[in-house]
Amino acid sequence: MEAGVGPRKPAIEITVHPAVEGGSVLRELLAGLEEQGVPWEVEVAGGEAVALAHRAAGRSVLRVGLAVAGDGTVVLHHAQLPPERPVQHLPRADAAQARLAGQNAGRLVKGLPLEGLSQPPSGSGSSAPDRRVDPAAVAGVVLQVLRRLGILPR
Amino acid sequence: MRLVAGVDIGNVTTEVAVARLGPTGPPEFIASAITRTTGVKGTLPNVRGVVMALQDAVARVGLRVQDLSLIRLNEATPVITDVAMETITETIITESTMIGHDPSTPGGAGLGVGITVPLEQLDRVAPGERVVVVVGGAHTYDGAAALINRALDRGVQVTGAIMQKDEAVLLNNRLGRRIPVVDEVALIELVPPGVPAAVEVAEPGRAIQTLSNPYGIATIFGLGPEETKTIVPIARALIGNRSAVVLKTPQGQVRERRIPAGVLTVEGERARLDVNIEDGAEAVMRAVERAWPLRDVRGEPGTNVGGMMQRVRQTMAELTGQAPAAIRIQDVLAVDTMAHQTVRGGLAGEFAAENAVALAAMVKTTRLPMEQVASALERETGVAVELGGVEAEMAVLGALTTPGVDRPLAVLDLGGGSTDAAFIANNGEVRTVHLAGAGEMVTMLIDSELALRDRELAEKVKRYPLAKVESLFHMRLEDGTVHFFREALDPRLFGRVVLLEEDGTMTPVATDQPLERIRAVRRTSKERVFLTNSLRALEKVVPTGNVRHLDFVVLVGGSALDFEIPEMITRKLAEYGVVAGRANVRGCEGPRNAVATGLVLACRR
Repeated sequence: MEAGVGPRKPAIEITVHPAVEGGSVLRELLAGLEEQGVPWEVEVAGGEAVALAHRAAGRSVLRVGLAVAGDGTVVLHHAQLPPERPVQHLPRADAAQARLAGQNAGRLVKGLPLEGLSQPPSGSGSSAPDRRVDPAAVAGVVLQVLRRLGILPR
Repeated sequence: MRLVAGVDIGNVTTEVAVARLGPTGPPEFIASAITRTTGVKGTLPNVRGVVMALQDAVARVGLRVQDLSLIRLNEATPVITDVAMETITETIITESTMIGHDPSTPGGAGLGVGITVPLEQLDRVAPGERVVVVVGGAHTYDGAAALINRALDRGVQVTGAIMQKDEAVLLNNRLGRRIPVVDEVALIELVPPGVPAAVEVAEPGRAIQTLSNPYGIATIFGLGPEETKTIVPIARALIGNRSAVVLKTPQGQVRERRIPAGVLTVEGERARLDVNIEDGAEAVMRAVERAWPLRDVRGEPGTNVGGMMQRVRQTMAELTGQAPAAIRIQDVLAVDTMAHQTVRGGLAGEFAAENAVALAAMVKTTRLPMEQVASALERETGVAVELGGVEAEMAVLGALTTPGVDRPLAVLDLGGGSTDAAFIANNGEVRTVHLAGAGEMVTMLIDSELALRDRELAEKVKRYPLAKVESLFHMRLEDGTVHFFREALDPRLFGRVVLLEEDGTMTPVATDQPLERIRAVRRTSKERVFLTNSLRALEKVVPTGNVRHLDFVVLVGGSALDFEIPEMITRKLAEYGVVAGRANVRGCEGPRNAVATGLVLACRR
């Protein structure tokens, strides 16, 4: 899938670092796009991922761009957003995250809600603080207390 | 010159009006204030809220609470309401037989019918056999496609696929033949091997045609009339889906259970009537009107409505400190509704809309202990406190200060728990009525019909207009206008339906349902409660019993501040030739402060 000559086709533009051109991150990214049924074009180039993604979005007739950096970082961007504020920024993305970024790029074009963004605003509204607790962290605190009280050996 | 404050402690808000009273002439209103009611209406914790509201009001004109000569407190309407809901149908699939969760990206299109085969066993299927392949989560789409293509090449008729991961399009794109693929089936291990199955995927923008039709399912599986009856709930649950799977398990028993909804006994001064809840809300309300005024309403013990009325009675008993048996229910409002229930036996968390009935009930209690609140307030402030007249009469006095109204006047008080009406005749005589069902019931209906399971969110859906975030820079409001933003919107709001709150907050509505449906549910819920009750209430206070004989109706109370309820009532009453609109107390307070203002106006010199 090479960028053609003449007027650009409606597609999501992707810039990928040469080192990861054949890698699993790009493969999963493209699988996400394919599942959403949205066309794309891939270009190989190196550079800073956020800037590359914004430039890719600028080239895209659909105004949506993706970049995959050499370390596997994936960035999803929209041409109208300020360059420093991407839609999604996934440092050293794993396969599942790359798939999700591809799906979200498709959803962004289709006008569907995005998934897996940091913390979705809660249904009942206001800016309630994040009350989710990491069970491992709780276990750690309990352990510390029990040790300090002498109930468990230090 | 005396300084008098009128204080109205409501269920939700406490309102204050402050005026200077000379020896002659009308009172000169100088300040008003509003706070949230602290504690349950009619209890001692109210005092804190009253003092806050008073301080707020007098501070605006540079005075202190101690400067007041008299505080007049409302004599709270001794009415308590409660709402309850119960489903009267239930879809049960005792053996897993359908998948109808409607994934966003199914693969292929068409209808595939065959015997279920796990992907791992596809190589053992003989050429010519018709199969539906089941792809577990361990397989990649590449691997699965290779196996299916090999089977197709051998002449196996692979007609459709069911898969666990969200890869239906990926799989279909790699097959030699386009087949319907339904994905994101969480509990795929529950799909039994070796049973007849049908997989249907509609073209984009269309809904399935065969599996949402009972006779379509009957045709595929060769069902007789009796069996066809049992699959009706499945077909119904699949209507409107873009994709679905139906499996015929040998012991498959799908049935719709009609829950014995029970009989409601309405005991009034004119009649004692039994009405079956299954006959619907209209039948219940006909019975209520025929028996009116009511002495009590009871549900048949051991049935759904019996349990529901028992819960209502229990709540009322706790609030009033009376024994449950001593509670007499003096009005009910029944509304037909839908409740979304998880289909028992579904494979992907399917919901089905079940018929349900919602009931609001009202009891009159012995006078709420307002005297206690009055004396505590007197101790707290050092200002003389007295209880004013009947709340409804005070509301009429306050409402009469709306520019452009005159006696005879009817006041509709649209509250949270009850809808109240008062009518003042030319000679000053006042008639009042309190009916069950108001804002809280609307919230309950919205919550259940949209399957939000979040009362707080339902309250917001009731209160705020909707918009769809169509791009990162614009949204389409529910009236069709488009609003653009200079700064990008939060990407998390992208593509979602949001509520536009007064302070600019955009709250996403956590549901997949389109804006149009959310709006329709919101509006019909309001109509079914407030239009019904407005007409019922007015008929009961008009001396002739005919709403057409009214001239002026003004709307007061918290729900009169709603952005669409007043216009709904105005439009409805216009059909009766009645002028109706939101009150504007003292020409400046809107539908607020009517009772507080009335308390000051009724003050003896």
